[in-house]
Amino acid sequence: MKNIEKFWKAISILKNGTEATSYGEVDTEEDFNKIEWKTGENASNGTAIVTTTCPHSEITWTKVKEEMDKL
Amino acid sequence: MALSKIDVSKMITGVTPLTNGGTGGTSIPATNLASSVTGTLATTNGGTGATSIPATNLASGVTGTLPVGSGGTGLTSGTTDQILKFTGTTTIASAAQAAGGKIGQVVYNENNNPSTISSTSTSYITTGITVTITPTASNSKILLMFSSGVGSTASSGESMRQWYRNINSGGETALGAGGYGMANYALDSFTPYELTWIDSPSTTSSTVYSMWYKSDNASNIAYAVWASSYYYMSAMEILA
Repeated sequence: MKNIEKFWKAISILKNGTEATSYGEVDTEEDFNKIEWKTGENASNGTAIVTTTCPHSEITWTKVKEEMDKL
Repeated sequence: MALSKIDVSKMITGVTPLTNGGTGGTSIPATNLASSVTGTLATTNGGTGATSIPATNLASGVTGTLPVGSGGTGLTSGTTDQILKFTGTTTIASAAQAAGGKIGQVVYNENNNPSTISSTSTSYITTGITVTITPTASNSKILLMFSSGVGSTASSGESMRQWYRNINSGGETALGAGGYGMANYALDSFTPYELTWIDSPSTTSSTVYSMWYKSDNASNIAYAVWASSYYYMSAMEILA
């Protein structure tokens, strides 16, 4: 299983239904800090409003890494 | 005493010699013009008056037009920026060039070793894959083509795609309805996916086209591009 698959599996365990986007593998905290987390939607064109600051308290790099290492 | 006419065919036999005004023979030998004739025959006597025929100056020495049936065009002039066209089996005239269908330019973006791009967003998120084109005419059309693999982690999940256009960094505009992706997911056998669109941007400004995607459900992971697979995006300007 690739790390990107483990990452998404970890996210679903920590908070299923979280909306986020990854550009590449998530191997390190630096990669984790580049994840774009959806916070809303632009009504004018249907695009996501995103932030690279994770808005979910249940999801941190430490918790994600812990779950990934279990897989 | 009056002389009567003499019928030489009946009164004279044999050969009359040259000294008597005859030819000295029963037939006149052929003359070899190449070796037996010298000088020139004057034009007043039906000749050319010259030992060679001078070249003809076509610009000043010829009048009229050469018809199509003789290998010419039958024309004395044409219309600027037009082409020759047969208007009949033996007539040619100026005609405008056929309009439309000309490719003005092509730009493309391809990658045979991309990184994985994935999302659970249920709102459109950019893949980051773009092409930039500056149309040469505001009435041009832009033919957009994109291909890559596509997938979703749910057996019934859908990864949807959508073209967006951004003129002069003025904001993203969705083009038409989004295309739908595949339902079955397998990392090692992504389904090839194509999404084509024809756009009329009505601009001669720099225009960025990009591919966006989303998942139909936040619990499903939509893969826009899988690592080590490929993607290809192109934009063609079709002149009016």
